[in-house]
Amino acid sequence: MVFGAQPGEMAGLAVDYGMSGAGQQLPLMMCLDTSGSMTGKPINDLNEALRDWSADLRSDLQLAASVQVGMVTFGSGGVRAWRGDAPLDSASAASPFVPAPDFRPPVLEAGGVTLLTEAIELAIRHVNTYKGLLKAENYTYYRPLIFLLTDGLPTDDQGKLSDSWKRIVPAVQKSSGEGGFELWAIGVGHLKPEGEEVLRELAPDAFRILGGFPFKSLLRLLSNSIDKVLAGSEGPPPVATEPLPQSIDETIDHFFGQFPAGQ
Amino acid sequence: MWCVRGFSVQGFAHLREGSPCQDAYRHTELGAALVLAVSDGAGSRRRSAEGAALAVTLATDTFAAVLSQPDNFADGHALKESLTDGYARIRKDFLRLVGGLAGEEHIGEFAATLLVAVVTGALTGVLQIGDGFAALRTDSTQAASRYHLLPQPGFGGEYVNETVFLTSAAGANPFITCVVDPGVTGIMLSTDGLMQPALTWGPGGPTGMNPSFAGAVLSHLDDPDRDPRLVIGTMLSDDVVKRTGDDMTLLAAVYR
Repeated sequence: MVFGAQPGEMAGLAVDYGMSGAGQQLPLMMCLDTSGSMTGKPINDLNEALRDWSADLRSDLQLAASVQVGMVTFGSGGVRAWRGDAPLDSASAASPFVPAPDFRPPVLEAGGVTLLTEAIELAIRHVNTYKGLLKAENYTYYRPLIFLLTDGLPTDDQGKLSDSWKRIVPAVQKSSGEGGFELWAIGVGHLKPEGEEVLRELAPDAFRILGGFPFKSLLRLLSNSIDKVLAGSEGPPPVATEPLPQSIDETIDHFFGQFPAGQ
Repeated sequence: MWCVRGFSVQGFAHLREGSPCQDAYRHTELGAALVLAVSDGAGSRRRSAEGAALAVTLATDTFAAVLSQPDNFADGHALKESLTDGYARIRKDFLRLVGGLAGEEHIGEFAATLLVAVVTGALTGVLQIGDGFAALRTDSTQAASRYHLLPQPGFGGEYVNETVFLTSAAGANPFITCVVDPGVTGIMLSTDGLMQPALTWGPGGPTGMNPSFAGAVLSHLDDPDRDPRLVIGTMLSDDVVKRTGDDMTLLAAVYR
């Protein structure tokens, strides 16, 4: 062990890495509420935070090499997938995921209703398709993460409150439990108790309600938590009966531990 | 004679979040015979670095005792049986010790993988729990046939950060490979941190050693006048770091 040595500081041997593995991919799907209630400062703050975050991703050697970013928004323009700053046509077979260094966020506009259910469904479809692609191209990958940000209650396309979200709870919980993906749900702004209930049902172990719209710190913490995922291995439950967290639950704790419960 | 060098570096992601290197390595030599062991402590478990250190200590001590009895390695079958029996003792001792330290309900905090190579004469036996890799260099003159990635257990799960540990229920069943080849001139054991940069990959997982990586490291170690710290420099290079944020440990032996 050479104490104090930092990556890139020491001379190394001449190695041709052309035949080596490409690294390990972490698909990250941002699922963002851009409904009318985000109008004004909230959407401006979100745009600024996304812009800063994308620059951070580009400048970070490891996140840049590992993270693939996709985006789905719900609000202005309905439910829409984005490939970087380009909206994808609903009939498009293109993947919204791009390598972190290529991720340029769109300038989002606020408006419309809160089709949260349909947005999560679209996000899941893209995540599953992308996993198949990674598998076919011999990439090894981490469990995909869907990062949901919302400030409102789910509605139908007429803006009426809807309990359509209940139809995806079993599928979301099953997929989380079986390792298909992780869903982290963050409520911002002035989310009502009913909204908190929705997030609790969708992501019982990975939701938090935050006061205000602290998008910058939220995205910075997200990057830190992804770092933790990249830091090492997890495993199945041990032989003893200890109720240990499975898989990336420690990382979830790391992320959500930044915020006092109920804040 | 064998010359053994161990290298362990803190993963970049560990470095940034201030968590220590949770890998461990150890070796024992008995005359011309060798026992090499590496272990990767689970990133999220609080006492996994202790688990890794304990695992390699138990493994090298146990198999050193095995090597002291010639009947244990009369042939490949005998060696495989000895590895199987030895591992059962290692795991039993491991669970007993960590259970005593922290309580039965906390043994998962010591979760660690284990990869051991026992080399004696023409026989090389490799035992594996969890991920990581073992590779041999033989005296072939062709680079393509000189470096051999040994068979690996199947991946623990769909995702790269899922594996099996000594403390896992599946940790009772080691994956064992025995090689009979008098021409082994180099051995590499590594935790999973180096799997992406050091191996070639295909559908379903690793397909072989990247001969450039294996060749550079082992030929460097062949020459006693070369600075072994260059191997550390290689492990900290951008080409490696961008492929993994995990701790990296490499234990290599070359026959001089």
